[in-house]
Amino acid sequence: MNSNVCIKLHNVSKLYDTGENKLQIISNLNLEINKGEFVSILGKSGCGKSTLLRSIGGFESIQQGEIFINNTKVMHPDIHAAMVFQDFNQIFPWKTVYQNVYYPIKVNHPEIQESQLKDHVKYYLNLVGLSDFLDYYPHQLSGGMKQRVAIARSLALEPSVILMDEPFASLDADTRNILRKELLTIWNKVDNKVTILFVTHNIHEAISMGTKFLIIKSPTDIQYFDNNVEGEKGIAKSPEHKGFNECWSLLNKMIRGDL
Amino acid sequence: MYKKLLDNIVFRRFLYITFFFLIWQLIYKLHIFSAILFPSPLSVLEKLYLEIYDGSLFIKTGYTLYLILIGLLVSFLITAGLVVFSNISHIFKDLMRTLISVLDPLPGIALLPIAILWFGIGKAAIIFIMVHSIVWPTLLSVMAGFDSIPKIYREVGQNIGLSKLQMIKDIYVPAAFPNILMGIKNGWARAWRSLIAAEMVFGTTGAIGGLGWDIYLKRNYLDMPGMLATLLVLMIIGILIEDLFFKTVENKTIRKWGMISNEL
Repeated sequence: MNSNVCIKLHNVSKLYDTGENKLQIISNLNLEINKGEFVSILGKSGCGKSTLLRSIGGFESIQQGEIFINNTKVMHPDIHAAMVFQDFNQIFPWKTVYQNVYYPIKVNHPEIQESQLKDHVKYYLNLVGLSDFLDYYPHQLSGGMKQRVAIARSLALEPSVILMDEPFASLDADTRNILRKELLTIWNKVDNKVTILFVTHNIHEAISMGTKFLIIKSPTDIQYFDNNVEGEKGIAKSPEHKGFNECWSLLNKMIRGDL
Repeated sequence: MYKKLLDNIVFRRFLYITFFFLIWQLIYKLHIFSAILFPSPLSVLEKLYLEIYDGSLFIKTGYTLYLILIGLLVSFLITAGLVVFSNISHIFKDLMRTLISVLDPLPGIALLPIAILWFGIGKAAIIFIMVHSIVWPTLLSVMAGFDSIPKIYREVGQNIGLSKLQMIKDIYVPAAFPNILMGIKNGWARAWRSLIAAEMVFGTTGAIGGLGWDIYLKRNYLDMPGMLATLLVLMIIGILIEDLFFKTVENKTIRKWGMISNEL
């Protein structure tokens, strides 16, 4: 396998068995995603975007094929592929902001020295702009801040993949815009080492952040291609960037099934 | 100044209680009822003072608290065991649900005659009654707590690579803690009520008896101030445990975590 490949899907099929009828979500998908990509996953609602993401994360089993992350077969959820959910409840209400980030690392790396770990946790909470809220409990935070904690938690684990399942969908438009920019800035700060898979139903969001698109048109027609909108890597793309509008209408047509 | 004082709940309560005692004293002074059946508040306080002074109050209270502690401890151990098993086996959980719905409505004190025949007149029978009173409601509450843990906590737990034990200790227990605490509170309330009732029927089970038995005994001597003094002690213990102990635990856990509405 190419050493630059981070995620590899080999002949993957996933279906929902509701007893009477079987619902095909993904059929014989082959895909290779390189290290350091930011993949925006788009598709109609109910098309299986989240299911695909959850399968890659090991949260759901697949009926056929194999999924590899860094050449290791995905069997169950694992810290190498950290998930950021849409649900604000993903951070534990009984832990402070600091503890929410600290705990997963402590559990996985008990050998790290306390002072070093403290700096590590604070570094990532600083990245998401929560330095002043270390001792706050989640219920004292806004939705946007809770999602920042979740992002800090996943980053601090230094996984090779971060899976994001519409993390900003429950936020208001302003907060969503700010967080998109911040996410890209942070991604740059960690030298784009981490591969991000970002599920969204918002075309604008997909273009503004993604280096690649993964468009689910139907279970058998899933397309993976570059985001060719001009602009610097790590800076959110907006309609002022050349090619943005064309890209928007292309994606829109693909999702609606016109193309 | 006055307004500030009146805003203080403790001060307001103090006012109400003082007022209550004044009315009591007034009725006593009017000689409406016989002084034997309706003693003055002062005589009750005097009796209380005497019992504190000669130490007999502490022995009785200590005995009652000792019994309830054993009852609670045994019950919580049994409950914990049953919860663990019902989380392992679905059939066991189903069985527990049936047992709860059948046994929970059964008043503990109704089992007393049977308990006496099974365990004899002694601590064991009282503890049996208490355990019956505590286990079912507590189990119901704790099981409901575990059942209602949001799936996302489990998924995050798996994602960050927790072991089974870490998952239970660090995710399930805190996530179910509002229900666990409610279960313990209910358990205490049930134990407290059934213990006092059982003591009255039983009497002393050794050289010393508890507070329930004390009230019953004093009736024989027509010791009205003494009975009221013991009631006062029962109230104070109830307030200390429910208002101080459980409130403090609540404030330090689920209220701090925002896992309970602040209005209550």
